[in-house]
Amino acid sequence: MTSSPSLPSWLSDATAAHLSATNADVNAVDTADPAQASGATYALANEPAKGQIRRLEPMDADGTAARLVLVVNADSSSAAVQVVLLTNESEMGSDRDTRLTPDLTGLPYDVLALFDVTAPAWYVQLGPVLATIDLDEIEFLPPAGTPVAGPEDARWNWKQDEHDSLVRLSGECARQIVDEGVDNFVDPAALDLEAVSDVELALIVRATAPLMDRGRLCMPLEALRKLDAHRVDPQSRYWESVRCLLELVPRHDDLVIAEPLDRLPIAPRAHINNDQLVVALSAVMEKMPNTYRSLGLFTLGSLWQGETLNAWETSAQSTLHLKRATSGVWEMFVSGRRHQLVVHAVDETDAQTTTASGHLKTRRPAHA
Amino acid sequence: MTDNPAWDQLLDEHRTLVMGPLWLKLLEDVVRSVTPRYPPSVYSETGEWNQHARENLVQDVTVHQLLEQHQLSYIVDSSTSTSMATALLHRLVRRTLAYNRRRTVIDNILDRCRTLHSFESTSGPGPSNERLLEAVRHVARIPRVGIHKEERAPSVYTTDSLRDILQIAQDHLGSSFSERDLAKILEHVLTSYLPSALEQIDARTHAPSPELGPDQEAVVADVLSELFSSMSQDQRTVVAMKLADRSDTEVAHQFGISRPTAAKRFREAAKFIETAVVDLPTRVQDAVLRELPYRLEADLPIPASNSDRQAPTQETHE
Repeated sequence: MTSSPSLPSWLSDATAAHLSATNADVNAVDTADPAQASGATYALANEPAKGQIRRLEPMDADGTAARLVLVVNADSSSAAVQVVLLTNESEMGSDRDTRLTPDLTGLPYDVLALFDVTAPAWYVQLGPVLATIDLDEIEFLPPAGTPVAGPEDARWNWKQDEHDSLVRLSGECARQIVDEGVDNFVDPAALDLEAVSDVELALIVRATAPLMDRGRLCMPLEALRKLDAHRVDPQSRYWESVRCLLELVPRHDDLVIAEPLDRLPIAPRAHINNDQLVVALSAVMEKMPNTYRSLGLFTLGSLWQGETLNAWETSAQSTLHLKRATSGVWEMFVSGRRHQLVVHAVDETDAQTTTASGHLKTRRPAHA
Repeated sequence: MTDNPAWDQLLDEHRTLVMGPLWLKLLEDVVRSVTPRYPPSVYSETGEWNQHARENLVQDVTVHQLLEQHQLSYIVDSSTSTSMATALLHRLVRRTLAYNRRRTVIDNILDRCRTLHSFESTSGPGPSNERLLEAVRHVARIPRVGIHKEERAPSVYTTDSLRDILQIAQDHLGSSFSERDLAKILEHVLTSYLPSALEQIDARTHAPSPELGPDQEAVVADVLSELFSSMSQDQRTVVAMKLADRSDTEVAHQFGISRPTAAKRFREAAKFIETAVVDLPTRVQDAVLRELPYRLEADLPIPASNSDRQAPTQETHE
């Protein structure tokens, strides 16, 4: 409890009146705060979804101001959201904006949703869920003000500044999405027929081959050697998909990488926090352009022991600065820059997204 | 807990007291920093920024904004550090100053309207939003008179314009519209009198020509708007630099071009402006040209240091 020895009487009166009017429970535990809630509870509450009002934080601590946003779309396969900027300057509203009042949001203050100021952002940039609204409900709300008259209207420059502030927050995500560069890797163990079944092999091939064909996925050379050495039975019903993958390789030989994944031991892993594959991926992240901050890893849940792929707790012996952001998405700091690792366990189904213990499991990616 | 102890203390104080000595101290520091930039004759009730005036402002922001409007909750939800919260407090103090002035603008207009019209007393549910917004759209077309520097509450409308506004209100809301209805219309229409506009006005030493009538003021505004939107960014920057007495060498440096090319670009931009105003009455032309430098302020680049002012000898991007 903070003491208040020198609080002036007008402020004591004002805060007392405020508390009385709002009946605020100031000691309530915020379940959206990981420090006060269990990891599983936080993960469930933190899963990005349409209609959430959340804080959007910059990728790096460079002084860029965080802002409140409304999530209007969430794509778990790329771990990216589309957000609309919110502001407390509701008197600046125009016919393009919508005022979200406390009775709609449950928040104590009014916010203005600037539907013409929108951008994509990575999951790891999202702060706690502050409120959730029904997007269909706000579609028919009246406009928040009159149209902006032109450059001489004060709201013209104001909105440009608001747009700039969202661009500063979302720049890395927007550029990576527009670039459509190589930002996915396949787990070498997932192509090793000594470690996986025919069915699992087919699953991983079906998920990754289209990405490789579009030039978005790197294939470790070591994994291809393993695949070639063991050969799948041509009579097998999975042969066709494997053949597709092998036929893709000569056409995209620039995507077959010899370093650094080929030196990795291909074996079931102990914990994602200490796994050498993730160490290798952090080295890949370090070499990526500054605007590339998200990396997808296609793997099989069966290759990871127990629930280690989805466990909330970080290992005490962890050599990585790895923190679970939400289901299947991990936050990593590499050379002082924030990245996100999106783990696609392609053998997980939607029905298995929540285990009996309440731990979230990775959703099946859309490509699968 | 965050890795920022000062921010943690502020969060803790907010959880336990809503607002206590730490937040109060932060706000007092912000008010001390913001107020010297605002003319006390315009923004301070006492006409000066003394301890009493600053305390009034601190109380105004605390009671009406941070607590009643729950802006402290907004700041806590939006921020992840003390510096972010401080920046939001800065903005809130500036908005409060501007909002208080805007209230005076609308109050004065309502005072003048009372001498022209007898309002009905407020009762019943009031007009629908649709009818109110329809009236707003018509009132928005009524021309306004210019704002003069150091004017505490700009008059905004001539008496004839006020009569037109009252007629519009009557046509759309019925003859029994209330003073409160008219205030709502004016709050919508005068959004452009909000913070940034007032700050820009205060930063100027210029006031629109007082001899222009409302119709001519409207023409000036239209021409400036047209000019602003039809000129390219480069053209605006060139004109802004020349109007600010920057040399051709500086213009050349700014665009990475030679000095003669810079001079040529300015001549082209000047010709463009001349074409836009050539058919206007002389008085309106003068008003447009007087106003132009202020409209182009945002396009004026920061002066380069002396060592950076060497114009390149070759064209880098023509």
